[in-house]
Amino acid sequence: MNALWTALVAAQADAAEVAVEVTKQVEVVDLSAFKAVFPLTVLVLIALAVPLGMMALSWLLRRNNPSNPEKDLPYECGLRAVVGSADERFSVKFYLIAMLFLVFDLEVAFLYPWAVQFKHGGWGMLGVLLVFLVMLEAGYLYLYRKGALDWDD
Amino acid sequence: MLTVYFWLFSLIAVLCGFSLLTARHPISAAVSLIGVMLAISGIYGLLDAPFLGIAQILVYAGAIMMLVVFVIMVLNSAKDRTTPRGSSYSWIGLPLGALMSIVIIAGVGRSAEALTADPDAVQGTAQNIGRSLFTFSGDAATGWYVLFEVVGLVLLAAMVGAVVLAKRSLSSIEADEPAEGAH
Amino acid sequence: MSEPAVPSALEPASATETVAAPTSAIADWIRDLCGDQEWLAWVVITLIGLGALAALASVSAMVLVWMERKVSAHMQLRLGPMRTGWHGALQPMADGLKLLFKEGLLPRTTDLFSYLLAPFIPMATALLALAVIPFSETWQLADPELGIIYVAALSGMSVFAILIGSWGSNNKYSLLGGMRAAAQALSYEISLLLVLMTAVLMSGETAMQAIVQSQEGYFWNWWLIRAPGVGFIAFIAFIISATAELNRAPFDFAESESELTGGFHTEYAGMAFAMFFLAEYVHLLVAACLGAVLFLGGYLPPVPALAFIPGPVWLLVKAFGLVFLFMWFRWTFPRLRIDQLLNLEWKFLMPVALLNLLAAGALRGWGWL
Repeated sequence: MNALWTALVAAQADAAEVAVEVTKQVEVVDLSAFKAVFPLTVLVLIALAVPLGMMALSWLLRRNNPSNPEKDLPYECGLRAVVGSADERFSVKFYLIAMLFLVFDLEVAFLYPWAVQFKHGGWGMLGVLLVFLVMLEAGYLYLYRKGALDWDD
Repeated sequence: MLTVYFWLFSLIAVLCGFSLLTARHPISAAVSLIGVMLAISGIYGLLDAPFLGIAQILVYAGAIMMLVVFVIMVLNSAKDRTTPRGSSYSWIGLPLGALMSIVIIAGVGRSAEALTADPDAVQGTAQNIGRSLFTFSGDAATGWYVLFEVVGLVLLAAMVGAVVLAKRSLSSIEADEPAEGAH
Repeated sequence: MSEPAVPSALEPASATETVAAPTSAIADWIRDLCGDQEWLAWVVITLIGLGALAALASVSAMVLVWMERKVSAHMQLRLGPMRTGWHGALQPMADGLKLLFKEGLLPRTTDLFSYLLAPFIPMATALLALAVIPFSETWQLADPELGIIYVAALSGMSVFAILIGSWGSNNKYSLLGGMRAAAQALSYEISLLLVLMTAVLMSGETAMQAIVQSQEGYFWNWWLIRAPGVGFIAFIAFIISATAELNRAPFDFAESESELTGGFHTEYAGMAFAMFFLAEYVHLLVAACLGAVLFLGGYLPPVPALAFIPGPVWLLVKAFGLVFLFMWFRWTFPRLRIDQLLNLEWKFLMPVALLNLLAAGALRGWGWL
């Protein structure tokens, strides 16, 4: 009787262990990659679905009147004829802005790891940045003196 | 599981690239190129290089593409509406491109394990990049900050170059057509 | 899209880990319901959070439209909308419904692809940017190390929408408005980025959650006040650049009504116009939240004794205060000229922001921060 009891207890313990192992296996399934991408995926889907849904809803609900040649003209000043084309050539100053923006944008992109690392670096970090900025500010002064930053004619 | 995302991003990149090649107008091509860059930044993210991914959006999709679009608009874009889709050179490029894609797809397909980041490798986060760039002493010092300064020099050269180019064309345009230029 | 949170050997896990599980009655209830299936609870909670985010975006856009009209009206000694609902509170809803039923025009000369694509982008970027805003310790969708620069990159993408939308319209007003808007946004993005770098430098943190936590305690720990002078200058520079980035008056060249009719959205009608319009206000909210997080302690109360009021309320109070400031500007400052605007950025704001960054570095080097 006693032996049977011990056997039963042992069997139960085994079963419990097996159960623990099973639950452990369920928990062990690695979800970290899933957890990393799932919210972002759904967010991107929402960000696409919200505007699309709004447009689709409007497209279903609204009535589209037949078009006529005047309605289809681009808006100008109420006259029937549109003067010329909108494909105007723009001032080269816009090119200059874009070019300068590119340079300074790159500068900031390089500054970000610097700002992140700053608290570990101390004065050496400031020195590195000063040298970097002295070069850039020399360029900036050159732009200033050349009149590249004067936007009014 | 992340491999699915790799294929998704690659598909977007390839489709946008195709639309880039077949676009009739330079601006449509530029829009497609932005699609390519966004998809590539997603792939950087998969490869545990979030800083590179964000820099790709900020610098390439944001700044460089804006520059490209501005250049297209500064040039006379009305003429470009009728750009033909291909030329006689396309017939040389087409088989070469097809060959190239086969090689790349085969290569990628064979190494399906390595499509996403190695979890044991160092992540390309801004902190790690900052650490390897700006460590001045100790075992971890690499001296990359010298390269950081060199980048400053390159940017200086770019700035001066931009002004020299723009100022020259600015004066030449104003000499040619004084009424041109809407600002 | 690109912030995976896989821990690595070198990186302490906290820097890129997604936020701690939300603790609230609802979250606990969902966890109870799901029992052993912890991942299911996680998925459900995440989905609810995402839905709440989208709802917040649309509701706050409507509230902001109403607020804009009421603030404008009262500053001009008018009443503004009064008839739909309490003090016209339902007016934006009515306007939205009206626009929903309006015909979408498609002028003959448009470039179809860019014309149709453009209205989608600003709405999408606005929603994506909201994901990294911390509303409380646990109410944040993702807390990537690059959250701040991610928001800046997204605002750059919405400028691109204005540019291609205006070009695709093939209308002179649109194109002029779009080009001006792009030039302006490009210029001011530099000072905006420099100010964001200053905030990162002052707090020594990168993730938004950690930046908020670095301002723990009384309101004089907020970076606006705590960094002597530097924080204040950075805040002013942030407000100016954000106003320009958002194309708001006095920098509203993109749609200066009196000279360019509707600016870049002249040719857009119906829902396409509504999307530009709503996205503008969601972007306004994102910018205000960013300002509150970086300089005004985010979701933290001004004095610890007020901590019984939940964090999201504090963040929204601060954000709406900043929004009110933006609206106040509109009726205080006359619109600049485009050359004045560019001079202001390139000859004043950008150098000031750069020097301010250096000053912040020096203060930190001396250990004053």
